[in-house]
Amino acid sequence: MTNADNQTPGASPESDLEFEALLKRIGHQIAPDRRRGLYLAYADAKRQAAAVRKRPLTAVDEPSNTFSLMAYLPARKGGA
Amino acid sequence: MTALHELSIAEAGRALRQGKTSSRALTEDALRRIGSIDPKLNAFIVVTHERALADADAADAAFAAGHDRGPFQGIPYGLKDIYDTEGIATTCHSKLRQDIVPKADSIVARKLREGGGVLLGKLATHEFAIGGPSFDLPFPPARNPWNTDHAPGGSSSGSAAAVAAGLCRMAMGSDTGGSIRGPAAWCGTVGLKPTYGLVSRRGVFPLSYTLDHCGPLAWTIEDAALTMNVISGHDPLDPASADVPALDFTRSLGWGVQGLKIGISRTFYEGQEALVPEVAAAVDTAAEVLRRAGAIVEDVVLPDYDLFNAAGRIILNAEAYAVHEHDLATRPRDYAMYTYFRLMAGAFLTSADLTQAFRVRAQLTETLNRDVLTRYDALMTVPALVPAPKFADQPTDAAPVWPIQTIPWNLTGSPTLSVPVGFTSDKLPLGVQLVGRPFEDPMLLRIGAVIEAAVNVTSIRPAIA
Repeated sequence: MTNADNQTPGASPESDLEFEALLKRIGHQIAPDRRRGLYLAYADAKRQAAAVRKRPLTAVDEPSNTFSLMAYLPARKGGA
Repeated sequence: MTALHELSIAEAGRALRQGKTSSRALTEDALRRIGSIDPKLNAFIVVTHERALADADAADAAFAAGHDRGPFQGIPYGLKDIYDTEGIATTCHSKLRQDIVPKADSIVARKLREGGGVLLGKLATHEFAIGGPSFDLPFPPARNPWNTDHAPGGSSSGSAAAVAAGLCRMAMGSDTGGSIRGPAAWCGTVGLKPTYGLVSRRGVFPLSYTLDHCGPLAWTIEDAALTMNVISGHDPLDPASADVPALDFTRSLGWGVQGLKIGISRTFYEGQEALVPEVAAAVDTAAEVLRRAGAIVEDVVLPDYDLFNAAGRIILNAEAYAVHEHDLATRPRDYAMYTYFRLMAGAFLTSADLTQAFRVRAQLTETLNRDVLTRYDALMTVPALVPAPKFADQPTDAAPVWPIQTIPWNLTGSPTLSVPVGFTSDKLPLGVQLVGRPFEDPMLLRIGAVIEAAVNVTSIRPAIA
């Protein structure tokens, strides 16, 4: 659970502050009629981010998209 | 005599080869139906009349010359309008791309063209395969042929609507979080999200690179299988493409399910506040069909649905935002409101959020394939908690939240099939979702064929058709 679970703008000063800070970092001009919908998108993103941290992970648990060079494996010639 | 549009791809193919009909006749029939029915559905963004008739005549000429390029020769089909088509605009249902005309076909479009298929047109989608059923775009949203007050689901909305209404036998969709299986379930069609990497994504506008899948929506299981025989295969220029031996998707369709073991993941949907009982009952109906056919069906417990969902949505939102970052900053008003809200969600995630999601993804994929699918031949669950929602119930100042339950299998890349099972008391379609082992897509089609034959709903079309 995060403060962003209070989905309505104004329900959590902490979330409101974070939301405004993130908008400033993104640097977009947000039209007034889109602020509420955007806040809900923010609150949902925060909820998902909290959810993936509930899974126990150790330091050696690698991401699914681990970098690999297999696509550049040199072609084998003459059985060498 | 069966009406032309009621012939499946397999049946039409036989009729073509026996000289009982022609591709020209099939195509003209389809174009007539599109002309009379589609104004009520908005399934098509563009109908490619001239191209369709030229394709049809070329197919008929090939038959006359004794050339047979496979199951799609002479068969009309549609493409979701995110598939590139040489010389035909690929709009992604968006104002941002109204005038974008690709110079080359996507790989899937090329394979269908080279296989002798007849392109009827490009089909409606939720904008960029992520928005919602929007009325603030250059093209109207597709409607559900079973009740046009209801949405067909998305994002392959036009594909599902067109197939259900009998405007085409197969339409290509794409599936990043459920965009084939959701509309298939809500429109009563078959929908296959193949194993990740089985069908090339090259030339298909990306939504989320590591979750995007291309696959067919069709009226019958056999037609979906025939389509897969044409469109699947390794593409060295698609980084996600799997270099595996070719699969035969039709060979095992009649093998039945005797002795197969199928797990129902009830914990995904039972107890959920939004669940409509008829949706859960559809799974029980399918389970009973499979038991009677000799399968062992029992409940199985998977990791929490919310964990799959969270990891999937973080990855989808982050990757989609990366695709659209520049346009969101410079042309925000050119996106539909729903699309804008959905895409902007990725702007609020951190690099650590995304990395944790990818780590969870690796664990869940391992758990599913090593611990669960070594004990079961397939899993079964609901595609969504509710039947098709009404347009009137969509929010006016935020993105709609549809309780579909499909993204876990984008996360794991598993093959997943939506199969029609019946109808609600309001005559809206119900389906089940089957999940299989990677590269065992034919197994799902084999199980789906047993359900399809038993529930016998393919003879029931929406009244609009």
